[in-house]
Amino acid sequence: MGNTAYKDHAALSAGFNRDEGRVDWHDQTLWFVRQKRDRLSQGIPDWEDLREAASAIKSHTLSNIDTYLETFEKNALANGIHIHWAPDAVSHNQTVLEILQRHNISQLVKSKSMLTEECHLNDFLEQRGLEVTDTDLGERIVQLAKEPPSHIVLPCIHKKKEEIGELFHVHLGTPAGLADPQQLTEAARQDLRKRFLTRRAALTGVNFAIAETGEFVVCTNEGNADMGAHLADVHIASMGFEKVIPGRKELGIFLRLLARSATGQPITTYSSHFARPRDGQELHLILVDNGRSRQLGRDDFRASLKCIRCGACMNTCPVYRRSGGHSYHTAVAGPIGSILAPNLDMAQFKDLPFASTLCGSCSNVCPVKINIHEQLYKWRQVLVRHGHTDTKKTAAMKAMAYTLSRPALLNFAGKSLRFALRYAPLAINNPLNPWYRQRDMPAAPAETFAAWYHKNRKGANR
Amino acid sequence: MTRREIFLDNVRKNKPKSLPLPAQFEPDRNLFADPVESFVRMAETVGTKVLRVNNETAVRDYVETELPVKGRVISPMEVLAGLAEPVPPGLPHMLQDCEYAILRGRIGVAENAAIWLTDQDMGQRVLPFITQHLCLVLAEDEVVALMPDAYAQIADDAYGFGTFIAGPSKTADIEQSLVIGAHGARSLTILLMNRNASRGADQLMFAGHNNHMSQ
Ligand code: SF4
Repeated sequence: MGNTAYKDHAALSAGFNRDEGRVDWHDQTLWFVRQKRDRLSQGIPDWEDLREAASAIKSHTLSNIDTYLETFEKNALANGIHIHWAPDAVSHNQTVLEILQRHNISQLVKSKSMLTEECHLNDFLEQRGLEVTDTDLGERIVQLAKEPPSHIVLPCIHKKKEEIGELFHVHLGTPAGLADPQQLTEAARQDLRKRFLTRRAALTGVNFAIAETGEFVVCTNEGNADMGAHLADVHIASMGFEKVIPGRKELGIFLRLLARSATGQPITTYSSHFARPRDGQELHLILVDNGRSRQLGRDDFRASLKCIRCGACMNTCPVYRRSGGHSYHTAVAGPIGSILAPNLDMAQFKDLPFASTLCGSCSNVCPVKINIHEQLYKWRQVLVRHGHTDTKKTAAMKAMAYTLSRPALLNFAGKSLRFALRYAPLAINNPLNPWYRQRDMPAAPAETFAAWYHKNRKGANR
Repeated sequence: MTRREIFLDNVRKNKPKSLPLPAQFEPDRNLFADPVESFVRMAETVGTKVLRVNNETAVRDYVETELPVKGRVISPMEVLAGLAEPVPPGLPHMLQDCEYAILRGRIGVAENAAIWLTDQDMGQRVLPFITQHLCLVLAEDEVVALMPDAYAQIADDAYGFGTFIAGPSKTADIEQSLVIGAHGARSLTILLMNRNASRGADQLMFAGHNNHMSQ
């Protein structure tokens, strides 16, 4: 990605789709995760009420976010946590750098934080000669492969174990051809343990920050956030401001939803609550805006800030499952990423709201009830209004709008389409018409709907 | 303007009009009849081994006779004095060769088999993570049904660090195959006492073994 020529979602998907076997595997594996989520959520009798409650808590918090942020700050400061405010990605990265430089630290272990992906922190630090080690296994794998994560919960879901074995062979010295997940994980455990024990600074993400107590919660299955944070002299936690919730009571609701929605687990292995630094340790927390306040001001897209980053909308999305996370060319892929990215840069991410069938499956699984597919539809309108659509699509849409508003023309168009489908399907299903690249046209019905309706209505009236 | 002022200013300018906090959520409790049985069943599904014991003396017995490892055994529990090394103060890195840590949990949650413990129960925060194997001791009457019940108990606690632990460390990042033992403990054993230590210890026998482990 990065400096290569701009490719949109369709072009990048085409790349992913060249390996049909991999696409099938990707599709089925994510669907399996979706099914696990279904089983777990169906075990909670009041699941729908829980979602509703979580959604309402987030609406309330976002509408009073300044007060909650100030309360959080006050309580966190009282706990001995240093609080930093970063209006944008650059100030976030600078803050991290300054903290590290003050301690003469040039090496950092990092647990999963999509925010630091969004801010391109690794690149920023590496360009200044610092070393960053991602410690979540999936993130470590994509880091070694010099790729971004393709999924916010399952960062290397696009990789096959043989490819991971090859990476580990090159970077960790495992035997060539070793592709056993158990043995590969063990090799990473040994290597990363050395790093945990020798790095003086650890950066973690934040799943929830609690205004009432000034603590924050980090959830992992691997234990990497804790290994880093409890061994390091300096712990830096980075969070988007939307992660604040009112109190511990509310945590009881969100932690019931998060892992069940994410991976179909009743809870993650570790849900760690950081309230005060340990003796002799420095604890820093960086609050980041980076476009979130702008999204907060957009009535139609505000609800996207409720996201708790469970990834369920990706696992269920028929487009994501078949196009792969990298096709979204942004840190947070999938349906929710396609709402967040155009807020950051409309021109660069104008393709993403169109990378959806608008089937609504994402909205149905979202634990905080974000109306994801409606927002995707609304982004399309905003993008068209701002002139950000590709010309082929705009021409087709204009023709469609013109036709739909004129019944006689529509009638004629329908008849000619059926004629074309029956006698010249290639004229429609041809390489110049991109919609049909992975699709087949249905057989044409013998009569138009209007003709059918006319006949049957008449029959009913007789 | 400072970064803080710019930040809060942008947030204030953009926030919508205030919406109320919803009425307190009352969870449906028809999840299971017996929280302790559910806790045990759920623990087994997340890869935890559960042993039912009578009391703290039986815990001591277990450590003395059954602990399946050689190597450094560390515990802050008084009842294990002489059997396990107390948690060493100072650099947490000193715990890197800990083979087995035995810690007293505070709350067990039936719906997900998570056990809550705080830094006061750990001696050193890194201990439950850096140890190769972890053993958590809990009493049956410390098991609550749901997460909101746990938070009702924790509500006003002033810990520096606390964590819910549910099972051994795990990952499925390589092709979604479940691997136990990512960065944290490779195994979790829960010693579930049917009687709380505070109520006296007269029976030394194990109440029964349950060595079944599943994922
Ligand atoms: S939008 Fe909803 S479903 Fe998607 S990641 Fe966020 S919380 Fe999960």
